[in-house]
Amino acid sequence: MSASIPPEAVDPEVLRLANELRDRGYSIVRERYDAASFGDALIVLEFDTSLVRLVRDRGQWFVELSCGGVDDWFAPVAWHNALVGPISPAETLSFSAQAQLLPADLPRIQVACDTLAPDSQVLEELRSAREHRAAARREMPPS
Amino acid sequence: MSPAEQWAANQKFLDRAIARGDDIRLATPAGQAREGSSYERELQYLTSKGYRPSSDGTRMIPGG
Repeated sequence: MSASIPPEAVDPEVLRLANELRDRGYSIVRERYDAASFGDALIVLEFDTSLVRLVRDRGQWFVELSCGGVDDWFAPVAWHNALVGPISPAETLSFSAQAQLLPADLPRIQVACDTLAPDSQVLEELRSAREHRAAARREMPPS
Repeated sequence: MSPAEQWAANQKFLDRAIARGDDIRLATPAGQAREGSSYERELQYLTSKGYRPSSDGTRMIPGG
């Protein structure tokens, strides 16, 4: 982890995932920290055509994935919904829970990224999964 | 500011906008809210107060 993001801003779960991704061949290609904006941070890792970004927004960490040439990012749960099967939107998946989806799903995501075009069916399914899950979750009471 | 204090401040801001019946412009489309985020919580709060996303997802509108 670069010194540009203070160690205290990186949750152990985030560090664990970053290390696991590096063990799988990913390397950090971008890193940013903005102390003036609530300590927002960004780490992007890349392997072949797949990209993983770790985002710190208002003190919370999130993980999202994309593919080279695709200008959109999706949480692991959206990828799982599109490539494997649905997970109930009633279940709020924490960073840790989202990260736990990755070891099993990453090979499928990497294969999808190898062939993903901006107009592909998978991309439409990812956007649809994200939209439907967000709509269902908006109806839940604020936690 | 603790998370509880942040939420209290956000809620106060939202309550004022709700009381005025304002449309609320979204920096990120409602359909792209990150799960478990403060932003998602704000959308859930607005929804519980009768707000709905505009057709293009860029605003929350009262009674929409």
